[in-house]
Amino acid sequence: MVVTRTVQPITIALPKGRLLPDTQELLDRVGYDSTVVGNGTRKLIAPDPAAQAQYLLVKPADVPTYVQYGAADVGIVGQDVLREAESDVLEPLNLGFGRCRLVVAGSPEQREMDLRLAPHLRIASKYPQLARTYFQEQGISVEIIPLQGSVELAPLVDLADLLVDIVQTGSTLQANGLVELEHIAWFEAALIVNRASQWTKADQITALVSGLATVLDEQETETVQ
Amino acid sequence: MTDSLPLNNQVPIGFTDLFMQQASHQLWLIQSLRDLFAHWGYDPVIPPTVAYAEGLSADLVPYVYRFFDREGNTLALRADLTLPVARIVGTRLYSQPLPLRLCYVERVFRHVAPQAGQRREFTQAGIELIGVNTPQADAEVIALAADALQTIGVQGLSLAVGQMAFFGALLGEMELADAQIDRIKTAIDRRNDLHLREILQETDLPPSMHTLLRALPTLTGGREVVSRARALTPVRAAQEALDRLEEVLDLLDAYGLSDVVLVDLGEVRGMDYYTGIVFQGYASGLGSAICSGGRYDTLIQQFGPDLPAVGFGMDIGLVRLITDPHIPGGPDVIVQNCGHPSCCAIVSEMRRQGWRVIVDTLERTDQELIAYAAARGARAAVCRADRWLVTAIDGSTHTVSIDRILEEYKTW
Repeated sequence: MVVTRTVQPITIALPKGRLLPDTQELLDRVGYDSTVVGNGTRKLIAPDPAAQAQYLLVKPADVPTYVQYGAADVGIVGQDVLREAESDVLEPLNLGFGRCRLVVAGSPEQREMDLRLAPHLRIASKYPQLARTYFQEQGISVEIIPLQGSVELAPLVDLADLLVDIVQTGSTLQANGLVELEHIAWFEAALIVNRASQWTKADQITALVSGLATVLDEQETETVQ
Repeated sequence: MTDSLPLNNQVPIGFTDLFMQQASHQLWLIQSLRDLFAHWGYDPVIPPTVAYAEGLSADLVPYVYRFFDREGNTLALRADLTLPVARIVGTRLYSQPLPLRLCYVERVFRHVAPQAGQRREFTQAGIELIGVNTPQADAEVIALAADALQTIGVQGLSLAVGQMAFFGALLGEMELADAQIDRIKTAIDRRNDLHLREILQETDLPPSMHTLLRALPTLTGGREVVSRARALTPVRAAQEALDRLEEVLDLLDAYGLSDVVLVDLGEVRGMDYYTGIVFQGYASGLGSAICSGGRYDTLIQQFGPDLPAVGFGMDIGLVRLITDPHIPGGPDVIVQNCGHPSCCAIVSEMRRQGWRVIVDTLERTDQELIAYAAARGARAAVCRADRWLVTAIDGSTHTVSIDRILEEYKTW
């Protein structure tokens, strides 16, 4: 009984939208040409023969699903999406871009409000799990109102008392007369890896992870200097 | 709210009907594994489906189906087989010649989120080797798992072998609260160095311990991992844990598994009863582990004598997702129903010799019988059985005399 190992290309799930340009630039620096998807090609799946890889272009919220199920071996995704999905994947690297914060926001008058004294709080959010957990940890019972977008609207039309959302610059909040009330967490883009692929494609994954780690270290050194 | 759908025509969420090819596939897997376990000298054990809901493994507690009997006791559907087997050994079999080699292929029930191929009812196949704490026993169980996965056609196998005693020895040097250990385990398990660093900064551990724990997620790969781990700590118990791991790896090389065995000292979660060597099997096409096992030397003493043990289990439903064996299904031959005693005797003899023979019960005409045989994938239709007019599935028709039929049918 001699059992041998076979080498297969790795599949990388890329997030459509705001993280894509930085993702593709970073992959390019470690020798992966992922511009074969996106960038106006309309292709959702394409091979990169030189790097023995193929790329999938998917909605950011779907990246953890593709990776957890093993349809992709690795993926790049915002930690906001990753935490919300509660996926069982490995997270070996933070990638240093796409930094944003999850906050509780509301009207300026609510600055003086003690959330613990509100008998019934309605919280609008694109991140229902994260919002629920944040308030649960403090023993505050809330009603979560899940929304897909434009969460800032909810307090303005009295759909909710407060909102929990991602802010980068805070300009959307400001434009709608809202202010940040509480900081919940910092997030950034992360590399995630399927649990089985870590072993079945160990060599390729180790090469990708250590390649990215080296580039990120160099970046950090440059920034410090 | 929408009106609730009628439930009488559905199966509960997380449960599955198996039929046709999938049911045959499932039974083939069950039989193949039972045969293989028997060839390695393992004897079957069949615990009841229901047990008292006592002493459950903390890892399984959230997933256990519980209900009450009429005396008011809480009962549980079994969520794994290791615990009932440990009970049987600890209370009844401990005086038999050791080691005990026990195996099972039985259904278990877990209230899990039905995703990634996981079901709330699934068939677990596994073995337990009880009464010895030697590297040979550890290696036998891992080699048997590899043999089982190969035998049932799993492709692209990798075996990640770890050592819980190594992590245990490191923890023994540190003063940490259970909640802290749990968070550290989670961060190591997810290979999340940044999160691990944050957690460690909240502890009183010296920087040297930070370095040590942060190295664990990187201690995965080939044999060189063991040397790297050795260099990290002088702790005697940790070194001994690595000695044991190397002995097991050497034995696995001898089993011909060096190419698929990898070292995983970052494996710190596993079942809470694991005490030594642990392993997980991974395969192409499946995003999660296909089998897992390990050494548990303190479980059986909960029920009786202190007996060391090692074992593994696998979910046959997951195996079914990634294997595609050729399993003949349906009948080989369909015979018109003529009712002659001599014809009935011939049909009986064919069945005794292992052929799958259907005798028509609808008084079909020749043409109908041939069409039905073709639709069922049979190799031949036998019409007007008194004259044994045989139509093979390629359309050729010929007559066979009754005294020659039992010779000839083997060539159909």
